[in-house]
Amino acid sequence: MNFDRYQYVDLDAISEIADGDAEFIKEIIGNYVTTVSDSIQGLIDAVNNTNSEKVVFFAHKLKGSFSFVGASELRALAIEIESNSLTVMELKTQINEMILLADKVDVELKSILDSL
Amino acid sequence: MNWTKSSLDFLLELYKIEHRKSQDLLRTETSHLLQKYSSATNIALIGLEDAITARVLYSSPSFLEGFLDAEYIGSLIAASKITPGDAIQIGLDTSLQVIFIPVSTYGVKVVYILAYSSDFEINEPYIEFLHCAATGLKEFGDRVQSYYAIEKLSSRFNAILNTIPQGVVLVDDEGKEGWVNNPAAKILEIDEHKNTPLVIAISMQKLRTSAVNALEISQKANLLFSGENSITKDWIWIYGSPIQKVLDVACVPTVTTSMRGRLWVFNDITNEYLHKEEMKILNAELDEKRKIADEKNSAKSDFLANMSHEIRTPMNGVIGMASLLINTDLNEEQRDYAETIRVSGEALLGIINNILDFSKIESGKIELDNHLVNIGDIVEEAYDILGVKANEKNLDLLYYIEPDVPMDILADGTKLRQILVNLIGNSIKFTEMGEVLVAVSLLQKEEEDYNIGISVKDTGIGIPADKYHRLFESFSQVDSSTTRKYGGTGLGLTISQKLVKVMGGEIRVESEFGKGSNFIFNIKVKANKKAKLYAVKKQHSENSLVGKSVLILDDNATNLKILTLQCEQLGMKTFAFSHYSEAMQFVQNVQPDIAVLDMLMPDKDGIDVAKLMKKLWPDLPLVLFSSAGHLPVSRAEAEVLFAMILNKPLKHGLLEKALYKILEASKGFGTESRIPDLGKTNELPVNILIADDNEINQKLIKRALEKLGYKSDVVENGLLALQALEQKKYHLVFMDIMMPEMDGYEATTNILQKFKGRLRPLIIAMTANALQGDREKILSHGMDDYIPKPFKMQDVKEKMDKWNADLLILCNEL
Repeated sequence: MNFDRYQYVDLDAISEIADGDAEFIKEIIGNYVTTVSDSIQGLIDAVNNTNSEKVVFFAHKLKGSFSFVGASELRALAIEIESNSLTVMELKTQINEMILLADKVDVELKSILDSL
Repeated sequence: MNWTKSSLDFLLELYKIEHRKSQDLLRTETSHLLQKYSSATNIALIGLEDAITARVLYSSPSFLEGFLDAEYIGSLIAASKITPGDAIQIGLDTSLQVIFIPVSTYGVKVVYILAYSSDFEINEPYIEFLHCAATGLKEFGDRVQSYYAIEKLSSRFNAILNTIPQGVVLVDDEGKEGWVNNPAAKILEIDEHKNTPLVIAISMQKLRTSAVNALEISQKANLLFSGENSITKDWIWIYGSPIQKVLDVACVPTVTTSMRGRLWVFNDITNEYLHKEEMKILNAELDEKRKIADEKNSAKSDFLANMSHEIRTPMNGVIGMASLLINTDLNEEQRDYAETIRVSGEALLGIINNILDFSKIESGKIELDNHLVNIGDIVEEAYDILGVKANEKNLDLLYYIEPDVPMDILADGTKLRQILVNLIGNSIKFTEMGEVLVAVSLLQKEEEDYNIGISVKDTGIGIPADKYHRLFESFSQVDSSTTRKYGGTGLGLTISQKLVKVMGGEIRVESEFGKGSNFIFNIKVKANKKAKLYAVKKQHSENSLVGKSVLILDDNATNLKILTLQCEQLGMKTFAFSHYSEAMQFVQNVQPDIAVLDMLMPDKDGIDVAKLMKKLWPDLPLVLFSSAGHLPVSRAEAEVLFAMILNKPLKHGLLEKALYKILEASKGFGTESRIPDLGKTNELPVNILIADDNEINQKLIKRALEKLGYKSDVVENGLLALQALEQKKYHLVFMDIMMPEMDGYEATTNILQKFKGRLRPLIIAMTANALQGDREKILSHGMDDYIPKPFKMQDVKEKMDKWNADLLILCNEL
């Protein structure tokens, strides 16, 4: 499986564990899409409710998910949000950027799914 | 003639003239006396001045004059005895009798010559007389020379003591003699030179008690006078308020055979003392002012550092809102305005960030946040950030990591990336064509301490040698035209320099104006002394790429070299070309196993070359390197020609993986597992529990364990983990840290409590935070080990291998 032409994702870690099992990769990608979507929403709600604990919680969750699909820029954003040192306005800006990037990741993951 | 009486009379007369001041008078008088008492007809005194000069110092009238034979006179003196001689030897009438009496004393060598008529009787008593006279003359001479020596010393002594500015006082302990020089007399207000010890003592006491610090002086005086031989120096006597005079007094005992006393020296150090006091006051004022300035500076820096959020917030707001605005429904003009706002805002934010970073550094608020990072990842991230700018200028972003550099180091990845972004950013800014190359090497290694060298080299405008010194100065650019043309605050390099310093290194530049620059720095980091090296990451290639041939075509010499080195490290045979014609000539007769082509090349681009090669060798797998966005054909078209398209900058390990995968697929390596044979480790019925709230993590760790032959159960939080442990004997728990309901730390504490005094399951933390503090926290909470997220297959295997022995025990005992 050739995943190396993608700009925003790096599925080498997953591929290694999947060991050629396309269904497993599909399952992981499916989980990723669901988890990330829910977590980003959770993050947005937490920011709107100024619940810093939840902000950190969802950022941490997203960090893990982004790590496994090799989305390093998204991971960096999640780390910054998790650091709990941003103002509300900064959080919103970062989340906005996260959404834009996450969309690009989703496009590539969809492309991967189509190729499997 | 009573020669005995003559001897006594002669000696007595000599004694009387001892104190004559004049040497000439003494010569004359001694000669007269000797002639008189010896009854000689004539007498002469010859002085031996040196080896060749013997001169007549005195002579009775018409006897001798001028110079005599120095050698002869010298021999007489050397013989040191009264010698009768021939008159002819000294040029006299042979009828005369002559006697030579040599006298040698304190460097003075003379001979008295006595001449007698031929009928004079020189008998025994007379000879006795002559011996007595000779002895008397010698002793006389010794005494006279001593007087002269003392006279000379005394003159020198007086000259020195009356010339030096210091006051000198000499008193004897018996109270008989005292002496003061002129400066001392003025200080003590007494007559100079000889004074009675009593007068001197009274005046010195008066001087001591009239001092401002009389009590202190008195205490020291008691000590001084209590010991016979006490020496004291640097004894300060101060007068007047305000201070008008300061004396530095020294006192030493003097002991000679004839006198026992004390020598006092008074040194007027008023000016020096007042100057020192003034300097003390000035220094104190300066310290106070410096302290105030530092406090103000610190307050200012603290203000700026603390204002970091306050200043950035509105800017982020502007940029964020502009970004949101761009994503709304806008016409062309509105979109253009919104874009301008966003770009300008980002530019301004960049400048503000630089200034705030600088102020943070100045206020000492920089701390390193060390954790495990991969150097290659850091470089790639920096290139990711700057890739667009480099692509806009068609610049190649390249990097090469030496094989002996450790893959993972303990460092502050954020700051290291910041340094690289700054340096690479500058390189891109000042380079119109060519490349930017980052090279990483191992400078030194000792146990776990690594000194890593990093250089950022470009083919840009370069820096004149006489401007080097300005590079790292704050707010300075090479010259003002640079600022106008390229912009910037002049803080970037200063910040980078300070960050490098914090990381234990130094930074310097090598540059040639018009050719390019090379910024070189080093950082001192820790890594496991058995850290995996970049060279080792060739596990895929051990049985696969070795011996395979690869054709590499790239017009960029540096990139060509890097690719060639990387392929050679994989054990491949490389054929490297910088122009398509050479490559085509090669493939006319030889089909390599694979070909790697650059996209942008002169004469023919990668697409054209690929088409030509495919005509010759349709099955030849091709790999294309392309700058993002620089694909003149559609991706679909390109994917027909190429087995893989890799974007620049080429990420570490990507080439190897690409080559491996392509050759595996094309050369029929088979569909066996991509994972090198890790060897199933599990022969044990180990019960493993996974506690993680993230579904992806759950699936991945479970799958990894399955590949290694282990079964596992999954729960979503620490509380459920505890419940699961109640229901089943688990030997190993993979415990996530951050979970809802109960986190990993609390769950571990509970497990330890539950199993207190008994064998308990191993607990391996799974954490995305591999900070120094986090690792220690994990271990301090009683967990046995940790595995960082995201983890690789190899990581899981290593942990299972590491704890295999303990698991064996647990399986048997639990």
